[in-house]
Amino acid sequence: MFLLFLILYFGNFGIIYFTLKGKKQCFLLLRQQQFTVQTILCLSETVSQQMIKFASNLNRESLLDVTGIVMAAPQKITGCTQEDVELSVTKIFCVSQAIPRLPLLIEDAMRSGAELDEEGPQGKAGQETRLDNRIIDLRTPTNQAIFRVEAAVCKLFRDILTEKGFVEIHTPKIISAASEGGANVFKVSYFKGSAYLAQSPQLYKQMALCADFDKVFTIGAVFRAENANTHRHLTEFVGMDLEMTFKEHYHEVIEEITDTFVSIFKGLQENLSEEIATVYKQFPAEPFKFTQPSLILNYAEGVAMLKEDGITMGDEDDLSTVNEKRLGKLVREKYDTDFYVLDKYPLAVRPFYTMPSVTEPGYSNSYDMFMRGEEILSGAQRIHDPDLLTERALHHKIDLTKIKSYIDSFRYGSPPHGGGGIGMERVVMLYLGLNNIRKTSMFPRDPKRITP
Amino acid sequence: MAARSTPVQPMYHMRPYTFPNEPVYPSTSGMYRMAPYFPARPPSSASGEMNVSNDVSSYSEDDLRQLESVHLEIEKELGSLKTRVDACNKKTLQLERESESNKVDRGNQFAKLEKRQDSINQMVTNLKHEMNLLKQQRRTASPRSTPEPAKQSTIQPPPIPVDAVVKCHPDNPPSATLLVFSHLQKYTPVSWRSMCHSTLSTPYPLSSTLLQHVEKSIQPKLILTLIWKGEADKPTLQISASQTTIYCDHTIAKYLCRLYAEDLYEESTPQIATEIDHWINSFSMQLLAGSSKEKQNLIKNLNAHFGKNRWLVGDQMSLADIVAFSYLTNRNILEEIKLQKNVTEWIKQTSLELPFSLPTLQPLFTIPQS
Repeated sequence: MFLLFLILYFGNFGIIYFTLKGKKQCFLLLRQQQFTVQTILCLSETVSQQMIKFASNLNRESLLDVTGIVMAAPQKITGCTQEDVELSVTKIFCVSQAIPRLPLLIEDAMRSGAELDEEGPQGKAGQETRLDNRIIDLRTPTNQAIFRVEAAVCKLFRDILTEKGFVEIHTPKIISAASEGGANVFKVSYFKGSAYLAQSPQLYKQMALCADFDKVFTIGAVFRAENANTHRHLTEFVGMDLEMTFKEHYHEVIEEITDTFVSIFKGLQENLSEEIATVYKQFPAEPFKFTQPSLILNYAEGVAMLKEDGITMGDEDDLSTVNEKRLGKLVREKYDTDFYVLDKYPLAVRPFYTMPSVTEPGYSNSYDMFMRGEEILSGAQRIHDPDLLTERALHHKIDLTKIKSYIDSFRYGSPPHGGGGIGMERVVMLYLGLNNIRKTSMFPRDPKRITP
Repeated sequence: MAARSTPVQPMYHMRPYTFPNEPVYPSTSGMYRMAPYFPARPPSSASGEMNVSNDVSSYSEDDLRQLESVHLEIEKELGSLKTRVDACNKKTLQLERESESNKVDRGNQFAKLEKRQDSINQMVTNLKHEMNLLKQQRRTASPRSTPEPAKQSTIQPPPIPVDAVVKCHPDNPPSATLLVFSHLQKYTPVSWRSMCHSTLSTPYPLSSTLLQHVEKSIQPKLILTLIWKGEADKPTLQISASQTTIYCDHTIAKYLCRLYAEDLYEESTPQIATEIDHWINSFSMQLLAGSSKEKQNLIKNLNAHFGKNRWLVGDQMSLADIVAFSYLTNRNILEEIKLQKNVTEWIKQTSLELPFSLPTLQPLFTIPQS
């Protein structure tokens, strides 16, 4: 063994999560965010027997201030992110002691599917236990990586759209009427009356366009009172919404959105390959595939593909979740892409403000975008003509008095426009190939959980 | 915005609100019309009712009417064809009297037309049969469906084009496929798209320009989707998700020929079609997969052949020539073989004489310099 010339003072704190006890020496495994290093205390002039005893009695997950010498490891260290070096301790201080019995063992939270099979059920940390003790759970390298990817998705979305000339806006979350005139809204008391939590910033995005902002986007909380306990529904999530005017065809909007997505995917591929690899280590998945430009299929083509595969469905039916997945698989087999757009949905399955198609009666200028066969964005060209909007609202039997201000906002001259809303948690979940949206929401909210 | 180049309109026209592939607003005129983004009247047919359709009962009267109109159309075409055949008949008789030498050629044409007529006849009988069957089934199904007029299908799905997906690596472009594709645009409305896959480290710069000379139709019957990948070494073809993946440039080219460009392949006599097969087989076995000795052997054969003949098979260009041309100008293959004089000459001649325009495809081919 030879000394490295470099002597580092670890000013930052490390958290122990594993100790190996010995009489004359003691190993500590220190973690700093997603990186881990092996630390050794050897009986010597600077390290006393008491010091080793002190170190070996420290509780797991305690916060330490360590000073030491970085040394080349005699052999490759397994189980650490820093495989070639170890730290020989000269000073060790405990800054904050963790309780001796942790409700969740971090090693359990770190096991991958393959390791779980070996360990059996006793080594398994269930989803609920993990979420109940989210603070400890979030310390795993995988979770550290997931939320770094999530941060990057947000940053990329913001940077790319700003670059494209979009303006970031902030919309109110307390609203007077349900945005889509329907269910799925949380009612909250508001002084003497009541108000609702916004289920989409859509109306405000549209109003911003009518106020001549040309292209806008917003990132913020969205609330849905859907009593759905599925792997992909949350009652509160982060919506990344964008809305833009267009000059000639609503495909300009699709182009802009898909372009943004491709840039996000590429940005992740380039800047976060390490984090992505870390996540794949615990939750193996195939790398995300996409094309540039993105694949755009007509809804009718998608239905035809499903029918060819032996599924019976009407041309005017919406895609069920099962069929959605199936179509995603078929598209992946044929086009080898995990990201695609389904364009021109039947008018009947879209909200009242969706612009009907001119060339194909019965269809509409609307689109959904899919990642790994699951919907992540739903959008459309919106009706910007108050009369047509009124007509469509009446057709959907919506109370006109409730949406009067919405319709009125198009009476003062309004540009043709379209847009869409993206669920951030879903994008991260599907990009990484995770199986549950609760893995990509730091403190998830669903019908059964509002803590922590 | 450059991609959205619409033909220049006179100043006094409403700008056509179109996208390269589809007209969004049907023919507009005047400059005072409002709101070109939606129909003046929203389609009243688009009611919220769901349509539960299955098998026969889903064929509405409209469908039948449409079938009938197609039937009529084909019959009309058949009539015109018949008169043409008659005229040809007359002409051949005349010519027969006049000269003996011309007879073979004319007879050939005559036989071709007759063959086509036969096939159309067959199609018409098939169609009639199908229609009768449908009518019958409809009659039996109608008592159930008549009491519920709401069940009528409210939307008419647009015709679905064939989407041939070709995945390929930039170093191994499917040149023959692209050549045949630019040829068959003469016979049917086509469209294409080209995408770079995420496995490609840098986007292929030529991807969007290669097929620029092929005009995208508004209602194509065939779409060629090119996906440039970083891994696939041989081009592959996928027409539907469930089908076995089809490998190799020449096989894909064959498929395209069978679809719409039979003049390059199977329209001719069985003998010629088999000869074409023979050449394509030897290219695939010797030039693609063979040892260097086999490769050189094939070049020797070709050299001898081109000494006497302009084309590989018959007296006009066929699929065999296109496949030969694309493989013999492929950089990877050229690295391993030495071309001989006649072959080099043939490549040069052919590059000038290709019957379809390929200005943008040119960078795919390495034309040997002397």
